[in-house]
Amino acid sequence: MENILDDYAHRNALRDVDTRLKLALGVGAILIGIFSTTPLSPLIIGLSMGVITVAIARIPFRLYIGLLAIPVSFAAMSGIVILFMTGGGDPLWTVTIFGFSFIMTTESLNLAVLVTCRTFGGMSSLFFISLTTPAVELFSVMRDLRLPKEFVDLSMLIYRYIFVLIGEAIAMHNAQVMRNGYSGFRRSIYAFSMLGAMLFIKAWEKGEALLVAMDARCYDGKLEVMEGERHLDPKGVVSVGCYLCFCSAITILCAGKNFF
Amino acid sequence: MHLIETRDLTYVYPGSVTGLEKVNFIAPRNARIAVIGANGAGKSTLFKHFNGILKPTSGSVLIRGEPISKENIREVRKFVGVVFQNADDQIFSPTVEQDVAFGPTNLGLDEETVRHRVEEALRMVGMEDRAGRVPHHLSGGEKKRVAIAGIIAMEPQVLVLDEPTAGLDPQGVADLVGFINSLSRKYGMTVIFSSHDVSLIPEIADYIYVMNKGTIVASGTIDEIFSQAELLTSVRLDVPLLPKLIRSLREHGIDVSMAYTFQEAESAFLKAFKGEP
Ligand SMILES: Nc1ncnc2c1ncn2[C@@H]1O[C@H](COP(=O)(O)OP(=O)(O)O)[C@@H](O)[C@H]1O
Ligand SMILES: [Mg+2]
Repeated sequence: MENILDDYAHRNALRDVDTRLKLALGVGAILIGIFSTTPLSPLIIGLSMGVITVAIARIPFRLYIGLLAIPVSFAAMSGIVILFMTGGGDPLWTVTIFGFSFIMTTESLNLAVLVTCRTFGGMSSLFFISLTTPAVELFSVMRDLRLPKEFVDLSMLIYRYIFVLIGEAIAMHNAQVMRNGYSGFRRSIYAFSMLGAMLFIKAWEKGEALLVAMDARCYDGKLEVMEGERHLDPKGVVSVGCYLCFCSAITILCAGKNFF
Repeated sequence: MHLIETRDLTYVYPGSVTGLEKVNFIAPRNARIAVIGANGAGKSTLFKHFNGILKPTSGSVLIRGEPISKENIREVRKFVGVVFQNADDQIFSPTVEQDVAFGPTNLGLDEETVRHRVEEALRMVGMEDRAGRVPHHLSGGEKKRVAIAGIIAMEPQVLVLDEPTAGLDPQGVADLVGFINSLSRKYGMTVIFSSHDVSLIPEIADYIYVMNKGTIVASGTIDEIFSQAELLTSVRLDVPLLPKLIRSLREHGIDVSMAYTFQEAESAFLKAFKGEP
């Protein structure tokens, strides 16, 4: 079976650190990045989160770069658009394409840099959370946060059945490939549509089996979130606190400061 | 009064496929009952009636003398725990311990008791070191054990296992045999299981039902069933190796007493060949 992000989250070196601490670090960093008016602090956040994820949580570097490349390349593209579409400040460079002239100004450059850095910082914080915290750990935090019970229960069931469905899809795809299902364009279309249709039926059947299984064990509207022994490590709390204070300080001290 | 009794139980699947036909089945207290039959004999269909998942087309299912109704279905399911043939259909929680905790939680037990029962159940099936795992990282045999633990944690009086040994490794099968025997001996539980692995039956069963094409074709003790070789082959089953061998030796004039389990056979052979008592 393919490795998905959650599988890495189950094996990372920060697996046993308290979930609340990891969430506080990730979410705090995202918020600071969003509210920052200088590109400096999201940039610092992005780089430091990368270092934490790769060096401390021991996520493979190549995987991490590959993952980050997706949102960052999107951000870079939108940065280019912003560069030439917004104005203000002194013109820096003018290009003429098909008679249209596009002007890059200091303000558009600053805005583009800010947006790209924010995306970078936010995404690496988000990857920090998703690569160090298995989804199963989130359910108890969700319940602690007093989210509606129905919402938490539903997320738990959905979580489990995502993997059931992925498993079914992979098994069916393998069975098709083994019997030459995808040799040629016409066959591929035929096999793929069959896969889709069967997956729908399977999902339906699994849903009914779920109902039976829950009933057979006296379902009464309760899903248990088993919580292990949890204790916040004071060293961890202090270092996360220091990190967030440091980033906030930079954000406040350098508010509005730009590179150009 | 029997713990479970079916009277002329008939079940017809939608599309008029007959699943069961006039099945009379009795499970007394503290018994170990094997239901054997080839694929499609109707074992799973029968078991699904024991906790009210399927409702009889005709005939009746009595649990402690009472038919299953809307009012007592919760009690019935607390009393009779059924482990399905396909473990994947039974595990729906994000982690192993959450899944095992599902049943006890829904019985309204407090957190401390639930935790205790989960630990105990996982220990009994030898999965205590994998409590925090996610089900999609488990092997088929491990899932089977989790499914069993999920039912054990509810502490039913009757444990129904549909093909419990299918897909287990030899050690897993040996563990399961010991486990079923200890449930029956220590906790006085009634264990009902299905299988088509006949060599295993003498080790874990006192009483056997033989099914074929939705009907019960024979029932009796180990002796009574395994002495009818023609009956077993006619329903696509086989006589276990040990009694088969002993019968053949006896036909060749060697005086060995009949034995079904390994231990019985060992002492029978020792007695026959070395003259030891
Ligand atoms: N959902 C179903 N719909 C229609 N027929 C079924 C269904 N499930 C089982 N059957 C049929 O009922 C018979 C008994 O099946 P089952 O109880 O699963 O056998 P066993 O468990 O002994 O292998 C089989 O002939 C099978 O084809
Ligand atoms: Mg079956």
